[in-house]
Amino acid sequence: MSTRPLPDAIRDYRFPRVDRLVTSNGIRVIVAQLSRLPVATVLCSVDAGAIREDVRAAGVAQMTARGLAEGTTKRTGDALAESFEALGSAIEPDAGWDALELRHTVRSSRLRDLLMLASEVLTSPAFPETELGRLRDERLAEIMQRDTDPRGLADDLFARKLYGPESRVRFPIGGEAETVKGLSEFAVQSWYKGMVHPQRTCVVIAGSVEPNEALAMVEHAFGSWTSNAATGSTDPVTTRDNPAATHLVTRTESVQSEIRVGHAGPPRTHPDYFALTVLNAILGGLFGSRLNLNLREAHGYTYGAFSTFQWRRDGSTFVISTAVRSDATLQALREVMTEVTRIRAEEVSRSELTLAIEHLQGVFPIRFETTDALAVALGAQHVFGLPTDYFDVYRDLIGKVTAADVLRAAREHIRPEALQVTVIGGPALEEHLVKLEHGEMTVIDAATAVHG
Amino acid sequence: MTVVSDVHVPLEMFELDNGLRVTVSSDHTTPIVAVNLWYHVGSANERPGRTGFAHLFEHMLFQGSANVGANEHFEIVQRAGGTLNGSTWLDRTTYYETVPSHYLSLALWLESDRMGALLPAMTQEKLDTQRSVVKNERQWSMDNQPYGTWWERLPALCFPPSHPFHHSLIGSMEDLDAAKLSDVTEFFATYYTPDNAVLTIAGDVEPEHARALVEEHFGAIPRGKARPPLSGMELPAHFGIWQREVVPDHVALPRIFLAFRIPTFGTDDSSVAAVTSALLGLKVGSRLHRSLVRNQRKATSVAAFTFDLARGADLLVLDVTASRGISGQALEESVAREVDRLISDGVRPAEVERAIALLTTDYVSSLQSATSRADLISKYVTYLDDATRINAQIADYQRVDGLAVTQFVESYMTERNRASLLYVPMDAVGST
Repeated sequence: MSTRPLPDAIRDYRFPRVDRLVTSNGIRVIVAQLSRLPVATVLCSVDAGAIREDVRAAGVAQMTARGLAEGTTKRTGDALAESFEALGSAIEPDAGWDALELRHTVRSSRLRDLLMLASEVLTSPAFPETELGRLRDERLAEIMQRDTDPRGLADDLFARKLYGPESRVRFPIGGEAETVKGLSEFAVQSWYKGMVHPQRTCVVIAGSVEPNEALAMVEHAFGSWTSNAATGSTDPVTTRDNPAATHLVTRTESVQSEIRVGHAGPPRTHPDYFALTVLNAILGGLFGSRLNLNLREAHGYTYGAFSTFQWRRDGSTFVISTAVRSDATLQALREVMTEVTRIRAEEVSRSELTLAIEHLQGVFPIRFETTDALAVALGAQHVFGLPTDYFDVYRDLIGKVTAADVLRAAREHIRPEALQVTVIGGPALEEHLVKLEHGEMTVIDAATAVHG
Repeated sequence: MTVVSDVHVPLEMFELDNGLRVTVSSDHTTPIVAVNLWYHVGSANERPGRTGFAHLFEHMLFQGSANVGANEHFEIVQRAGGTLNGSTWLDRTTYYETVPSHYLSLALWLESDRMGALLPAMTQEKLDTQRSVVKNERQWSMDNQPYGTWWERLPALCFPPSHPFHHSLIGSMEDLDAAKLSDVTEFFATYYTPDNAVLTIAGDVEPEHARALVEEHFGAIPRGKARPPLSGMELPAHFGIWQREVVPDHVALPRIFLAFRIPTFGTDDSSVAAVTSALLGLKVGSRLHRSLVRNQRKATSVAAFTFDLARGADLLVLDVTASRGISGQALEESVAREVDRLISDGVRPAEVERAIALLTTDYVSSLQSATSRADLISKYVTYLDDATRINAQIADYQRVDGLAVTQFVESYMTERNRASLLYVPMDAVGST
């Protein structure tokens, strides 16, 4: 049969009903029922992410988060791991830019016990000094590993070149060697005491559970948590980016060039978010995006080329990423620049616009199929302060984006004059990259680039 | 221990006259449906001089077919609001798309068009472009990545040169260069036939409707001819001696892949292998993490997994990265000592229960997604010709006890059945 089938009638999908409640001590509780299987995901999200750190102490949020797993006033780290894992879920707390998080999926019958343990972890950590020392060593080992990994180096050095010395985002969430070495037990205790309070905490539960029952469980587990500490919140330093430049970071053993091109962007709550989401899908978000079709399918320079906005509450980083064969580095960069110019020069085609919109609308139910994905989405909604009906109106707002909106957003938010180009590749690339003539060019050895 | 009985995936099975085996698993909680197709062909089926071809061929399946243009497959599915991809493994190649359920017919039509009529769309230019894409993929995933070559070095170490699992899945640059359009034709005719494929549809669809659509789209595709059998698949139960390879590389820290030859996927022992693997290396409460990371501080990260190979022999692998200042040799000795201790001292019941609890949660969590339910069903049908195994897996885990683990480690984890692939920093060579 050779005729392309038409779709059946569209079937209704509604985002799960969400109940929002508050415990007696001020913890926000968000519950969404999803009852396909007898499991539930718990996400404890604390407004204590890395963005609020002083860049000179970069990494303290992550070390505090990881330190939560190292024991409580009642249990050693080993015993804590054993207690969680007996429930079928490992303890892996971590910090992102905007929140410190504990996330667990368990069988619904174990939800009550899981919440009791999560409460113990958040409210009475021990932060044993020897274990914090181990975590510091582990982070330093991660940094060493990153230094030999072209992908990690490209991501981290791109940010370093892009943002000025006062900006927290110039260093990765876990910090750099020079900041991590100084993270003492005192620094972790101070971060915890200043930032981890009931009023800064949100507990999301998604899964096979009744909202009232869920609230009762959270109240039972966390209700007696009090904190008299003054809030330690500091506002993030406004992040400005550096002027356009090209940075070649040389690594003699490279057989490919890892490329990052981008600049600072607007915050997650910016009204242009929907236009930028459609723009990004067309430019480099989808497989059939301009960047991927150009660099991969038309030229065979790469396995993949894509763009993204890395959203944070206070801003974003817009970045185009690809890894290309060494001898195509200059041509690939020229194609990237061509696509950046084109997206600002003229309206996207009707076909491109409808592909992006129809994809983003249609894929919506697939994004929230699992309890984990649902909890993560609701956590992000809370962290970014998005409206309560955000997920109910998302598809409509995406559908309203026009080609003119995309062009206006491109002209406002994509700034060729600010693009930082970072390439991790062989030293022979220097003579080629000069020809790009994009801002000032620097050439530096990988080892010096990180620690120099 | 309570045996879980509240997780049940519904299954309807049938087979078309052309040999296509189909499973439908209905779930109406979300209006989406997953289509998943496993072809029982992988790198093991490549002929000498054509390493990497099965995977290159997978790329060609996205280059259009009689009624679908180049890259249109991606566009059609994404425009419908779907997600999709393909993947190639040693013994199978998978194609899948998950779409809003009112697009099921479209998804099936796309798969049937390339199963029934791929060749009219194949051109030399497309082959050359995808060859270039795949060479970049090789560099990106292996050659330019610290430890990246483990993907081809470990199977090469663990399977003898004559064995179909020995050679590189991604392929050598020379062999990728050698691939011709006539290879595409031949490979397609031999392996991409309905009687060598397994189709699963999971999600918002009634079985009768799914069946009618499958018959409509796939019913007319002819059965294939006899396929050349894989030769030399059978292997002794053990390696015989400890196989060792040390790789000096551009890496910061030593890392070891310690592998054991174990019974194939789907045997009673494979659930014991999964539990043993979790007991040793899954999450921070595992033996290796507690001992090597938390207590001795000789390692910074630990993982354990099986390859899930269904013929010949499977592999259980421990993957451990050293701490700063720990040599490759010290790392290998430390990991081996933990395995020896497991053999000599046995296990505590709580360790086994911990492993089963984690495996069970992971398994049930994965069943939430239509994409992974469909993939799991295709795997059970392709490897074991039995979709119902999806509903037996949790009970299989829960039947494993300390005695079974002890017997397993005594049988398969002693020195005569180990293979170690050890990466060490280039700078440290000669000083370890």
